[in-house]
Amino acid sequence: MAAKSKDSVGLYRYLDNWFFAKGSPVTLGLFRVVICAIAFINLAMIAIDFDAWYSESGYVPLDTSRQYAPDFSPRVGNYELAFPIPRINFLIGANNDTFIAVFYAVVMVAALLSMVGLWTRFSTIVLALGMLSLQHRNLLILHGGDTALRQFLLILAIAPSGAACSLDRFIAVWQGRAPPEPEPISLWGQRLIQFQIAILYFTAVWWKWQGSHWRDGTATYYIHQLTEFNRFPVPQFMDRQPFVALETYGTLLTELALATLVFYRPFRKWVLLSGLAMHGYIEYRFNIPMFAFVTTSAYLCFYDGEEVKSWALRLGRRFKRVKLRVLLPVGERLAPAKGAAIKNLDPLGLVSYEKGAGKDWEAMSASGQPKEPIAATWQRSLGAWPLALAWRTLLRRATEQDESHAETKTIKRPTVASAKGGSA
Amino acid sequence: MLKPEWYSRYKWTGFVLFMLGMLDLLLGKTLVKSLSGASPGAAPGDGFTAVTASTIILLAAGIILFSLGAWLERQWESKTGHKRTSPSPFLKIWVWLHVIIITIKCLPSAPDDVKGDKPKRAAFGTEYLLLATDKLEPMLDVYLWPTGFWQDWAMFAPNPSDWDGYTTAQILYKDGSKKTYKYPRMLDLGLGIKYFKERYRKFLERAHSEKFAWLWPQYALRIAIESYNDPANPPVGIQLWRHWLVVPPTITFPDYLSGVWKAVSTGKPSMDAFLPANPKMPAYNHYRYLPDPKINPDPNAFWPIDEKILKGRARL
Repeated sequence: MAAKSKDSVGLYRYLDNWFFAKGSPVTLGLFRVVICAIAFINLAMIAIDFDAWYSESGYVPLDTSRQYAPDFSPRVGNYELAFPIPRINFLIGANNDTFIAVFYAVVMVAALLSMVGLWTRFSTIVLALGMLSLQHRNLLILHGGDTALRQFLLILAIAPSGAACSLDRFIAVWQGRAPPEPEPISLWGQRLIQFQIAILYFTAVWWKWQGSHWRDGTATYYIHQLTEFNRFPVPQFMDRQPFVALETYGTLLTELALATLVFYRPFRKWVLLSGLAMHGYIEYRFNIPMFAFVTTSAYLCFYDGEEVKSWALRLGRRFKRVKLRVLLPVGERLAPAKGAAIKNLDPLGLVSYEKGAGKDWEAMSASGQPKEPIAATWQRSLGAWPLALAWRTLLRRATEQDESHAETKTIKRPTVASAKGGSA
Repeated sequence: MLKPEWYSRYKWTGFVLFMLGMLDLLLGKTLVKSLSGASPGAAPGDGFTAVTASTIILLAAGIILFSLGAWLERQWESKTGHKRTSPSPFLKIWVWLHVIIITIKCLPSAPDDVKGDKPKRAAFGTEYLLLATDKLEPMLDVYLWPTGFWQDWAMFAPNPSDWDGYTTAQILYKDGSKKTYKYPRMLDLGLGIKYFKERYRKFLERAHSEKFAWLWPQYALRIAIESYNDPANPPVGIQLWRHWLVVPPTITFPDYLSGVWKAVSTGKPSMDAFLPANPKMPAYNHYRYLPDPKINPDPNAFWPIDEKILKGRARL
């Protein structure tokens, strides 16, 4: 008995540690960038038919929306509630097309701000609640991808998702309020996304196993015949046995592995690759927008932040040809905090900033070819992409006088005009 | 200044009150009904009022106390520079509850033949678990439904649909002319544009079916709005048509294997045995579903479009 309770305490501690231990916030930050970009694209795609889906002259005006799912529910299942409870929906009662359009635009802006990580806490909350409201306003057009997207956005809004890969962090490092390396955070947000993905696949397999067509190896045949799903063509034999059975059972096995074996590190890469292959095939063959992108983007969360960081650096080492040496003007150096912030924007490690001997900023490719320093550094620093308009100013302000270089009296600031030849 | 343990007490008290409030919200009326011995359907008015009042009080008190504790704690932290080293216990409770709740919610329903008062067969193995979670599931909606954490992952499950179809509409204009309207059909759209228009297919998945018959008049109105181009000649009637086929079953994998075995063992291997052809697709069926032909069998009958509503909603 005592041994049993010790085991259960051990299991609890293990799970508690798995969920809540601290680690690098890089993965969660990167996932935020990707999923918010997807949310923005998704919103932009629906916006094309805004009139059909969200206006009072559309297919689902307010009354129709309420008829399908009331704003307030007086009961759940067989339980009569003490009072009717509302859904989170800031569009409750809204039947003004202009108001809904403005609301829609605000959610799209929040998606962009969340993606770049500006005022991350606020913008992710606005995005999550906005997306929730839009989905609750019209439930009749939602598919699995929307449901997954909603779960992820809600988790990101609650978790500290702006602790890395965000402009907020860039500003904090720039101002010297945060250390160059992101501080570890409790990883519960990342773990919850992992769990969400696992439960998605696990229960999908269980549901499927209750159906006769998944058992007798013909399920994908039916999906192939639904012409409304057709996208790109595949050879005709793919729709026949034994290929249909291969796809049917392959789907079940892949989904089961994505719910279980993915947590076992030696198998992780292969399981995720098989998941990518499965969703890649679905994306190619069937017209199911964004679903594959939403689910596979969450695969990122199966990697620790340290792994993602070192993977990015390894990738950067492969791109030797595009590496860049930037020589600062004589007598200048990167200021410690600002320099760290600038270097943080280059996750692939493609740009190295060194003290120069010339009067101007200079940049050279790996082959020794001169490059235009502003554009070349901006292109190679992925994190700087949202800062395109301010990049020149930021670089200029990131330097300070190098006191060890006593002779230097005049400081030249970087300008495009003063940069030496070459193209980015 | 209060000591940190007091903030914690505020928060814990608030948390307990909030959870009690949630229980009251969910089970209060059922409890009052069973305690008062009221007959099914009868509502003991005073008892119900008490439940509503107590729920509101418990939830409000819980939220206020918890927020007060959290606010005071923040103040104390900013004054002392104290930094939290581990996640809040409340966060941990929420994460664990969330994990348990979504797991129960996402599990499939028990098969129909083991459910109900008189199941056709006895449950076995994991079906007992599914029967139990089926009972718990509605209670969990009190958390999932309002917060947006609701979900289920029955994608192409338990069986993929064998229904392939599209819809059209016949529009009758004021001057007596008729026009066919084709609701966006993915098959007919270009490769790029169909990616953007897929929501039309999703909407139709529901909108065409008898289960959503209440949606048809609005569906018809929208089509009328889209077809309303001349203020002098508005659409006055509409017919909704469904065109569909049911995908015939193909050879199952066990049958395929036995066919291959038979071909090999009899020494007559053939392409048909190794790569059997699928059955031919049947022709599309056509059916007018609005106006309902059971109510109005006249083939020239049209669902009337209210000109006032049409003009009010359309933007010309």
